Amino acid sequence: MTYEERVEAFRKRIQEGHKVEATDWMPDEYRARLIKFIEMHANSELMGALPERDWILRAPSLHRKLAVTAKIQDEVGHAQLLYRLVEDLGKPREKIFEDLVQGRTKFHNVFHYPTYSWGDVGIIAWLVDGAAVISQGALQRSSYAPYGRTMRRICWEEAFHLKHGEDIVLTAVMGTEKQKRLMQEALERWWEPLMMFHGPPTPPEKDKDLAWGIKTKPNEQLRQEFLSTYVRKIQEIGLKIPDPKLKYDSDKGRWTYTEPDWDKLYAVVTGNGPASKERLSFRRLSLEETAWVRRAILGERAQAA
Amino acid sequence: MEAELKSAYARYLLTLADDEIVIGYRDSEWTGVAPVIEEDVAFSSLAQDEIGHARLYYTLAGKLLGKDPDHLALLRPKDGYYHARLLEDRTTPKYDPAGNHQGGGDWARAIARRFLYDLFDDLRVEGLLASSDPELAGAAEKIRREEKYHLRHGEAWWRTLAEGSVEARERLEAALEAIWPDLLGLFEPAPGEEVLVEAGLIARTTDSLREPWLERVYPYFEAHALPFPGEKAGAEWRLRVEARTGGRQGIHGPGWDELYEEMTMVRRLEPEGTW
Repeated sequence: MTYEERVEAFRKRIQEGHKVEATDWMPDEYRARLIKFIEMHANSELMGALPERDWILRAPSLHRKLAVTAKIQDEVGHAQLLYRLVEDLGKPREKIFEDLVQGRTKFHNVFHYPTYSWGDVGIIAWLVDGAAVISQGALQRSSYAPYGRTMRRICWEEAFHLKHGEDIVLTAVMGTEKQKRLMQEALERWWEPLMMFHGPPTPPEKDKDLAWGIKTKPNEQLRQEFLSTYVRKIQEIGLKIPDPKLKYDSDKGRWTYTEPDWDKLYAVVTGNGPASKERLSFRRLSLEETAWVRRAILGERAQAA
Repeated sequence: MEAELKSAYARYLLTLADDEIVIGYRDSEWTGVAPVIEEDVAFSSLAQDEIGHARLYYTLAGKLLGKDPDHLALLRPKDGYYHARLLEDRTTPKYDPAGNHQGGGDWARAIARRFLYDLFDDLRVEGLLASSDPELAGAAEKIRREEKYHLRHGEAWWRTLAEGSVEARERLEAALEAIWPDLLGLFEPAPGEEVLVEAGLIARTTDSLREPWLERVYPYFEAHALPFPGEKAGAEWRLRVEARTGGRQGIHGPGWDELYEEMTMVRRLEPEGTW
């Protein structure tokens, strides 16, 4: 069998719903796409710890302090699980971090934005994680079986994050005007990044990750699911979504909304977001300051990487 | 409980709680920036345990003082916290939204502080197991179960830093040299501890833990030939370092100014609000 024939057979098996294991043969393009996709996901979990991490010290009660710390610990734990998948696919961890801090690889748009108040903590845990769970739920059926399995565990933990976030938001909107305002202002800051979260409405036939079954639902479908799940909940608790055009078009059976500026999304994820440089330089600083520890525990392996 | 005893007991419980909350806060800062991801997760767990312990102590103190544990944790005046000064300094880099991040992350210091503090706290909690207050005795038992894992984690890292590389060892030695005065500051007692011993609430005063602690930590230095600032002369230890005290009286340094500002920032927006 020629290489092309093997690739064709592989493609056919995926389309029939077969799953791929780490030890199975796979086309180079599939492996490269998997690495890129999962690495970005892992980077996002890790970089996502930074905006929330600032609020670990600032949580306004012992209960919230414990919950926020545990939540961020989960996110870093997810990064760990996902980096292991990338390592299994052939990319060493030191190289992954090197590429991340040099800006050669990406992380999710929402983690390129600054946080200003406790409102951001609630909105991130409820809605950013909510948007992520919608993507990740679909990834449970990824053609790459180890990714699907990892996603099942991650989704299970994320369900607690949503409750935690929803509870922070709900408690605040039932509190004083000042507390409610924190949440409304945060929602206004996060709405645009949330609408960009699932990516541009790329036609499914042009989405290579979809064709390989790495992901299983087109971007626009994920965004529609997000809106169907959250718009009513947000409105019910008395927060106003800052998009006058947002409405459900029952004729078409879909949400219409102000089209996000997709060039802006591209600029954000390529390192030109409002906090991209600051976050990456902080990641670089923390890696530099702890490099000696990795040298001490990994010995020559760290030297070689 | 008579007034003098009650006030000494509340003060002691706050001291315990403040020690735990401050190291718990400082260690929780490693979440997301630890040397290896496995350690982000581990350090975060340790920090959560400490905050949980603080909450147990604040709850007991709250019953005596008629106050909510969150109030005690987050709404006291800055000079009304009684933790040891050892625990209040930041050991991680600090994020600045404008990008002028502060460095100074020091894993060696974080490990040395945590391990040597844990060995102190273990002795202290041991003295609470037979407390005449069954609630404190119960809390101590629960806390001790968790601290066993902390000590194992600390021991493994102590060995790694002492033996892992020349560079790691130098950093550990430098960290130890810097913290010795504050380590000895751990043994500064809270006011009225003698009354608590008499009432059987605690077995030993905090200053009387110094000798057993020195006995306990010395082998960890000796095993790796790490410099120890003193030696045993007869039955007593003679140290070349002076304790830096004041923490138990509410006197703290710039590390506390920074932490207090951060930890109370959101709560102060609406101190009586539900969060």
